[in-house]
Amino acid sequence: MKIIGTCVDRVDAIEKVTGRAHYAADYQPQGLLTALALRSVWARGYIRSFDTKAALELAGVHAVFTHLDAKALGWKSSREIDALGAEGLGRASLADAASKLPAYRPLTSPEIFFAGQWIAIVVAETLEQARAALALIKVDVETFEQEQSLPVRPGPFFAGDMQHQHDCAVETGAEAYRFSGEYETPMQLHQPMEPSATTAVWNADAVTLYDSTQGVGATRAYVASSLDLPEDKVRVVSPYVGGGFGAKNQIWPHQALAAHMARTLGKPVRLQLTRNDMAVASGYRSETKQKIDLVADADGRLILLRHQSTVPTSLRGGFFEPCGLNSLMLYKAGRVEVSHHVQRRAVATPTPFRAPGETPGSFALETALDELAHEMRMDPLELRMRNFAEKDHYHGRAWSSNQLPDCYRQGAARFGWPGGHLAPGSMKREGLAVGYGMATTAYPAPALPASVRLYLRRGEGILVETSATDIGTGMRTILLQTVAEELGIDPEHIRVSLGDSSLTDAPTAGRSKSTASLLPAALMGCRKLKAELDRLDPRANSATNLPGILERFANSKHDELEVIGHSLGMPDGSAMREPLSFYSFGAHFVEVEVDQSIGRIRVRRMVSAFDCGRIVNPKLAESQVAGGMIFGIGMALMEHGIRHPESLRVVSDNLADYAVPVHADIPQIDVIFVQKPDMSFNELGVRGLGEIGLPGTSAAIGNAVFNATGRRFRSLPMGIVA
Amino acid sequence: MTCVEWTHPSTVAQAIEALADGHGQAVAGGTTLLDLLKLGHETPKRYVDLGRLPLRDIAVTQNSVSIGALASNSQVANSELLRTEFAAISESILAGASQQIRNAATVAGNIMQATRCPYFRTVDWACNKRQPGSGCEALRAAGPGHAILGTSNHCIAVHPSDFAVALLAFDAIVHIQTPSGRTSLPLAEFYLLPGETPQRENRLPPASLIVALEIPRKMEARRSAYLKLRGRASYEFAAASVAAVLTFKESRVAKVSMALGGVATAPWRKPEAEALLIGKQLDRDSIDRFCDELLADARTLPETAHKLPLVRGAIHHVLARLAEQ
Repeated sequence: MKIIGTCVDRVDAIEKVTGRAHYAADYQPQGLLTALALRSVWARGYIRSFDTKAALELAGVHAVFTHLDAKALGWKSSREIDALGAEGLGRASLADAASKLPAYRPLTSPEIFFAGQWIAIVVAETLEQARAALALIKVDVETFEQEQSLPVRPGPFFAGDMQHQHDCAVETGAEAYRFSGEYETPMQLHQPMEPSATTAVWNADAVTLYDSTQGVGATRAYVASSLDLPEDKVRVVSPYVGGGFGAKNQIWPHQALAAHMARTLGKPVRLQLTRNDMAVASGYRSETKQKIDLVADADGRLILLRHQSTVPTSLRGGFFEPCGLNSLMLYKAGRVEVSHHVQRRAVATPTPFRAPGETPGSFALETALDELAHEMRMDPLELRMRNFAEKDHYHGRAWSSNQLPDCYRQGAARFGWPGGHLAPGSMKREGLAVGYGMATTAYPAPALPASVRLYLRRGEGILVETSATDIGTGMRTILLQTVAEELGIDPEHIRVSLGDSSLTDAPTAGRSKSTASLLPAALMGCRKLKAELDRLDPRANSATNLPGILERFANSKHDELEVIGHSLGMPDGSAMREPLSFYSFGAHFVEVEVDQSIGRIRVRRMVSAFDCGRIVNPKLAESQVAGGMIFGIGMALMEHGIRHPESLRVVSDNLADYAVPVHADIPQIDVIFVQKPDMSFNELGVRGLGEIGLPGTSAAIGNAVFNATGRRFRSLPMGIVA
Repeated sequence: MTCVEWTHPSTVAQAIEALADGHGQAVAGGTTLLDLLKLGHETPKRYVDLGRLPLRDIAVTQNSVSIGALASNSQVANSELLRTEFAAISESILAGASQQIRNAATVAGNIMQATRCPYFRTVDWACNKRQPGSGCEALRAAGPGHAILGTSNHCIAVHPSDFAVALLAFDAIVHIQTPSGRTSLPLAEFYLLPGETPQRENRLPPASLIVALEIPRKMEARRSAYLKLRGRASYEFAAASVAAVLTFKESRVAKVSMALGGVATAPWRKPEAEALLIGKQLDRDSIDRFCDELLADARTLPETAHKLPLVRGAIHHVLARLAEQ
């Protein structure tokens, strides 16, 4: 049976569109209490006192917690907790004095580190009561000025060097062109459809969290550490996640806080982040400032590629945008120089957001290449092809499989890319300026060890289980496809159960690694199951025409049968002829229409070709990468996190003031997969594709706007400028 | 949200009575008020639900169209007469909100809707409109959406309505029921600029209700259009908008009225500027002179400076479109 590579419908589609899929805040255990946080409006200060009397007297209010009494919850700060949570990510890379102080954790100190910090939590019977109580809390704060500190030069981060130079043995002619450009990208908010929420329910000495997370295992570890409990006393359940994009990748304080409050109050507690909280309590993509220097010979071969980034992080956190990652490896240049500076500011801690680093970094890099191509009067596609890196010069390794030239060719052909130098302002349609732009995208292909359990029970088909989450990607569906194909079973006999920390281990869904981590484990599980049936059924060694797996199991004397398949993560380097470098690649081609007199930019057409190995389900894969491309439209044209200039408080911390694209902004999107299985990566030849659609998209749109009008946007969003 | 009293009058007289003590707040579609309630804005003692009042009809006479205050935005936008004779009105409504909101929201509610200035909506910022005397955060930290016309040192919040901009261009009249009887007011006189009292937004007398919006009909052939500019293609308030109504005589402008939205503290019109176009052909020069006069009083901040070229572009765009028709 051929099912891998076919467009199977999402297996949980009906549950989702009929409301039967229960998300973290949908659980309504008996006696549930609702918690809401009070956010500081002050950037820096010390809390002198609270007056919570009026709030506590309000009907339905069960408790108000502040730093003064949170200790009674067993709520504390520790190095171990810091290291397991979002607030600790990147501190090892920064390794400055602040990284050695305790990370920020709400309600552990009277100090206010940023506007938006949670300084009190109300727990009440209804959301309305909690909201009313919040408004009655009075806080006396001694404020002080935000301090200035020197920028930090971080060490390696996200598996890449943040300060790096290398020379490539490439033949280039004498310097003929030199280009420098400075670029800025704004703060961006994840704002997934489902805001983060945790519903904590205790049963004796164990707690179950119905949580919205990309990783149930990582959540369990953090919450157990916070509660001082062994991990087997904490169960995290996230069968459905309404989008994450990184906001639910790291573990945030609210996930543990719900459990602490529920324990103390003796009742289930739900802590749901509001849209405003989603801008300060679950990360965001920070602003970036970048400078690119390019030097090329007369043929456009790069003699120098220099990428310098200045990015912020919080006063006590560590995450910053590693903008230079793609510049390290994507093109062949005589010399590559990448550097990062991180500036601490009184802001909430930023966090990974769909292709962190590559997304803002590729805007700068791919715009600069377009600027160089224009200066040379050269086809920007040709410029990229001339600088194609036939190996990974940064790591000094061969690519496992790099089909970027094919992406360029197939994308250009489908788009009708004209080739040659296309002068800005040369195309018009019904009085509107028309422009074409392109850009490259690349993203690493990681994998981590994972386990998948297969369970056969008499009369019940087969159950496939793992703790992995399906954050809207289609993991449930592609696991089902893999098992159906390998075992030759009709999908209707297969049930997939996900998102429960009591199931077998799997990595957090993020960094485009789940497919390559989980499917090999499922494959191995299937083989183990067949071997087990062979062992139980001696005919296997002689007969060539065996009945199906389910019949063989039915004919056996057993009532149940269980196997666990494991995958090992990245391929074993020592077993290879030479160490390899694993990445996915792609090329975007975009057409825009611009009405210059009224500043109206509309993306009319996008054609993107991707090399993501073998595609398990073209329908879901296309939906994933098209989603990434749509993020790119939002980033290019409208998404703009606005801070108050003095307090740095997020003004646009809601969906009225933070615009994301609507249907009417989305053009025809044409996705091509070049479909070359990456057999050095895993036996199925599959790679993840959660991020690859996004990097480069905003640059391709900006390049198209330049081609239409001659106007270059070096700062995003382009917005509406006549 | 505190517990409040709701009343459901079925006649205009009962509604006026329910508002009489000054502690009642009229609610029609509720598409703004319920938002503000959830955002923690101060609540009145009593909500007066207007949903049962018989004010939903669109009445047409030879001289005017009278739209009942509670007609839904969708109902008006889709009315055959409005679409043909008052195109800019229909276009302005369809350019606003979403289909669901247009179905629920009423026309009187539309012209009474609250500003979307983020500092007004989110209650812990300083805002003279929400809390007189508390200061104006927008003047300290303006955003790209703030006003450049009709501003004061106390408020630069933009009036959000699209529909009111088109109504103003068509010389609409607001009919009001007060405790002492019926009265009416041209829309051009209905709104107040913020000045020193940004909390006072219009001349609706206390304990009164808008009962109808009347639009005069004209015999001469006239063209109208509404253009709304914004960052995304739908479901966003205007960065700038223009409603224009034009009558030509032998390719020269015989009559013109133009109102601006998204750039001013109230729907904006300036008859002195319009007078400059009378008898002129619509060309780049005449339109530029018109824009100079119309926008002469604009006060921009670095964050709002882009609006000036944007609104000029919009005016050129709309007039060119009408001249071609």
